[in-house]
Amino acid sequence: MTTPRKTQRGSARQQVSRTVDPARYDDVRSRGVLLCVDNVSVSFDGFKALNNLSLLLEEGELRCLIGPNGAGKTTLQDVITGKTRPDSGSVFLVGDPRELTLLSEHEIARLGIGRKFQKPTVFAEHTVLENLELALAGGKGVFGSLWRALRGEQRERIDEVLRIIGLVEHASRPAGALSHGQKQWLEIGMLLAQDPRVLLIDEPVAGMTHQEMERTAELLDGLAGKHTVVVVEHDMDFVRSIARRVTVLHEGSVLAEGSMDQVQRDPRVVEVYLGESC
Amino acid sequence: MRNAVLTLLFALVVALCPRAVRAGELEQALDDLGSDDFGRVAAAVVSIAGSGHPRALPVLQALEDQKLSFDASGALLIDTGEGFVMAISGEPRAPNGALRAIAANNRVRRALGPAVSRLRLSAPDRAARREAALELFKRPDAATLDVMRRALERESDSEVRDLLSLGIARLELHSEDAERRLAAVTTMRRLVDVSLREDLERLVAARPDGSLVETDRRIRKKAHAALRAIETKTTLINLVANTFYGLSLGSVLLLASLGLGITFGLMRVINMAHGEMLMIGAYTTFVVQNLFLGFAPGALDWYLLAALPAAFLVCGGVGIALERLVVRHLYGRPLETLLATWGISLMLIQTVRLLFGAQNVTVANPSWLSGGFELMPNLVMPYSRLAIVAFTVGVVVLVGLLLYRTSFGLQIRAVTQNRGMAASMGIPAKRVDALTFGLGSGVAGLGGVALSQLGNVGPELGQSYIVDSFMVVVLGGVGDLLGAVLGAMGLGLLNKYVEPMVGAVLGKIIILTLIVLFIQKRPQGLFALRGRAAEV
Amino acid sequence: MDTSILARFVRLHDRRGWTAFGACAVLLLLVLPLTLPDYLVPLLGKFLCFAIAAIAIDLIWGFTGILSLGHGVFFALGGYAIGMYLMLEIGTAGVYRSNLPDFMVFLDWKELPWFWRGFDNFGFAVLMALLVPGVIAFVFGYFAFRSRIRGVYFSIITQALTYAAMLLFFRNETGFGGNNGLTDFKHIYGYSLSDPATKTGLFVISGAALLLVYLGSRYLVCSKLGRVLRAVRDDEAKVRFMGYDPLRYKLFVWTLSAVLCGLAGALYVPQVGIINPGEMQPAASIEMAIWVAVGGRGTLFGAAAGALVVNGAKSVFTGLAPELWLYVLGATFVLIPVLAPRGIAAYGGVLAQLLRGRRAVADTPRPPEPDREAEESVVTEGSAEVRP
Repeated sequence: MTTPRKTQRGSARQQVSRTVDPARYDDVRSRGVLLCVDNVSVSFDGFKALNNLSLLLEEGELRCLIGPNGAGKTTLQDVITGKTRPDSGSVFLVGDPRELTLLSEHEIARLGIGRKFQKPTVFAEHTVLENLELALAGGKGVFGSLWRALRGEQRERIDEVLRIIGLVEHASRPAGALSHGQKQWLEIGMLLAQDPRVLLIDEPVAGMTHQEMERTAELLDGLAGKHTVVVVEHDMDFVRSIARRVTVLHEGSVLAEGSMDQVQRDPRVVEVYLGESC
Repeated sequence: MRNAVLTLLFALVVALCPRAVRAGELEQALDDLGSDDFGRVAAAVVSIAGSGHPRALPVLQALEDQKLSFDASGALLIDTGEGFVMAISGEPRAPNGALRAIAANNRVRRALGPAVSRLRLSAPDRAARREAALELFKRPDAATLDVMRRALERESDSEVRDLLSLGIARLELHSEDAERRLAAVTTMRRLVDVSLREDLERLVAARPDGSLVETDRRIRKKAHAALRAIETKTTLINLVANTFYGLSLGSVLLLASLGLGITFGLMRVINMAHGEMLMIGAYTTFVVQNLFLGFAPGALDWYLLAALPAAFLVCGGVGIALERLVVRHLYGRPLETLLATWGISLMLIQTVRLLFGAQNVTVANPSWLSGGFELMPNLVMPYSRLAIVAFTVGVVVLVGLLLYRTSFGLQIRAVTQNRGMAASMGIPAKRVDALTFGLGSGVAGLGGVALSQLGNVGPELGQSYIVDSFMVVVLGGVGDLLGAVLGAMGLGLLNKYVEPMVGAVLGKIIILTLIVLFIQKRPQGLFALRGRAAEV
Repeated sequence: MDTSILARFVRLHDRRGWTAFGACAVLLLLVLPLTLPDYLVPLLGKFLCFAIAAIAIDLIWGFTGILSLGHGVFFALGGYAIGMYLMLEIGTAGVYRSNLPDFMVFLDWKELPWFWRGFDNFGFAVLMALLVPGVIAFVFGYFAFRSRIRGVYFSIITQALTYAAMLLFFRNETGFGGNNGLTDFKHIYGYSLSDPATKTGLFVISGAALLLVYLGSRYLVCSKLGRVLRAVRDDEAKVRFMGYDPLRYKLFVWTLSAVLCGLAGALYVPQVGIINPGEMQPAASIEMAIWVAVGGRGTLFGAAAGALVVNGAKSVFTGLAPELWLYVLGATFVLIPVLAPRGIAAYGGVLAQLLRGRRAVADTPRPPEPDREAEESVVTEGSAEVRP
């Protein structure tokens, strides 16, 4: 497998200015918008993964992204987190002049955009505590990490997160020894410790038991408000249980947006989903 | 047989030619060769050369080569190296008593040179005349100037004429007469020959005191034009030669790396013992050659044809064993596979050393691969290298057919692209792994056969190709035949283009640096899947 | 909790660990120098240098997951820097009685090339022995890591690096003695190299260096930096999305590792009395990796022990049955990854448990999958996600 990251930097990429003109987000700021995805297109060898997609995410909202396979859900997350460079378009945080599509993954992460992959990715050999320590916001430079030890308030923050995700007793166990669900929660806990403004979560309940699913829904619910949370999920029941607003993607563009009931009544959405199931 | 024909010819000449009346004079002249008076010897040389006798050239050449002697009975004999023949008739004859060699001093030699040249230039055979003219051109001798002029007048073959003209021009470059020098330079400008560069450079150079060697402006201008033409032609020749050698090096690299690329694409495994497959292939060739020497010396010329399948099978077998015994157990741990296969390579090298000795062994080119094809003057393409280029094309076509036209190839490509998916569709991934490893190693074995025709065969043969063949894989990307071909040829050509400029070692370093820089731009190699398909 | 550096330093080992470390220190700095027969001193001193190199390789391979097949070049560069000092220290005592090193007289050079200037100063030479490998590693690593070359690709490129350096140093015109390298040293810092006391001194210095390098590396891997490195090894993409720049971390430890290797080379050359391009052969670098594999990756002391064991075995075998050595070495390469992927250090742990009278721990956790990139990107960055 190879990354499209480098290859997308080709000549097809239009010249994008390094900074975002504040005038561009003045009108959306008043509506409480935090992240702005503006007219983004990505293509892989002629296949348009994203097609002039625009999306506004408000401060503190919990948004669900749904759509059939190939709708561009994963690519959209890749673009926001800097894994994929778009051919055109712009992504920015309202109030921050930096153009996200020109930053690297770790720079975007430091701006406060966290991402959780579908498969639980925790560091199996590190203990639960160490996993959280690594995720903790700040102090991510080389030499700081060489000399500095955990400060008291950092330790407290970790304990708090441990309580939230319910892994206090497991703090000194290697993460690899946790159950699948515990790993998922640890990963969410790592995102909490990272304290991001925007959280992108890919299929958080895939492979979970019903019980674990409920606990996860609770966790995500608790996250929203303090953080802007974007959940990509296939499980419609789960989406219904948590979602306030749903965005439906289809063929790289936004097909519909609104409450779960609204989008379910939308004939285009019905057609896309039925068409796919046929 | 040949002597009999000559005798017959002689008899004919004696019977028909009016000059034959002077046969007596020839005999007299031959006798004079034994004289102590070098003046008489020189005169005899001139007289023999002028006799028109068919034996005149062999006799004079023997004199030139100091192979002419009188025996005790006074018979003039030529030492052919295999025995003695009569000078006058060419009939074999055992010497009678002690031999007295005919010595030639400078005076005699001065007479001999033009005499022999004239005889050779008037030979009826075109090839003989061409060779004589070429020799005179390469080693100009002022004494033969007239001979060449006269030969030019009656010569009809254009190539021989050109050679004669150049030979004359080369001599007349030093003429007192400016017009002659001008004519000489004009000839050189017309018949651009790269070996004349130094002559012309000397002509247009300045002496240490600053004065010019050639003061005539017309001549200087013409000479400069000739030099420029030579420059252009040299560049062209070098370009063609470097391209040829680059392609042949690229072919070797391709044979060495083809299997590496296939197995790497399939299993993401670097086989450090791959170079040893080349070595084993070369040693298999050696063994097959010796078997032919022992059991079928008559068919020795065709041992290579038997060595090809033998090397493929031996190396393929070693490859499959390697996969079954080691690589399989390290699946998913590429760095450890790399180290383990390196260990295998050490053991293979040591085994070969114990079996065949640490010294290089000799693998001879069959007669149909020795020699070369002269594309243009100063540019010979050895048959062995031509054969390797052709052979590589054949191997690539076969491997291509195997990969893209057979069900086995379909399986390989399926496993390469998505192992899990292929396995779930019922493709026996493990068997495909083993067979592919065998295929890759077998192709390397074929490469070993080819290498045995180019250079030394020793236990460390493979080691010298590791780094280069990895570079091909890096450059060409993995699991892509076209990428491998372009990567190998690109590397081969680049090597041969850069080498003449900076020398072999610096050239290699520059190329390695270029590859590292290249990867900055295209981390996936020349050809790579992009987008989603690439991420599986 | 006391978080001062000193306190963290003390916590690097438990009581048993510090006792073992102290025992090693006494052995290396006191017992062996006093008891070893003269002919063994340089041999064991050489092994100590190899052990330093092994720790350097363990830092990047064991902890960061980057297998270098080119560390021989850093080792050799450190050695060449000191070798140049030792060459100039010969003065006019060489064969040609010239101020210039013999090989330069032989090549008919009239004066020292510019890059030899300053190497008559011991301090400068030591500085260069550390700086030159460091700078070269930094530049090379920057380009390689920036383009996210990883896994076997990186290994191959490092092999090409040492191969290219070897070719370069084989040339006479490069100015480092070509084929023969630098040798026939007489003095170091005024002490005769043939004096047993000097040899013992060098041994003690090597031993001290090994102990310090071990402690420093141990501190590093126990710090948060060490945890980030292991995280990079296990899932680089994840680390990146957590806001770390893996490039900086990898570059730091890669450069540090090269500097330590340079140090090892610098200590090695005065003890063996020669440095030549042979040290840059790809084979030499691969052998370094096997020391670490034998000892156990990610353990530091295991790597050092592996260097001693493998080289000890090499000395024994090349003495007794030289034709068998390559088989032993080759078999080690093959069998260690298959049968003992955690190296002998793992068995050391089991042994210690047995000695303490506990039941042998059969359920020691499996080693973490060391080469995660197996199923992912080989060249460039991979993500841990599995797409639907």
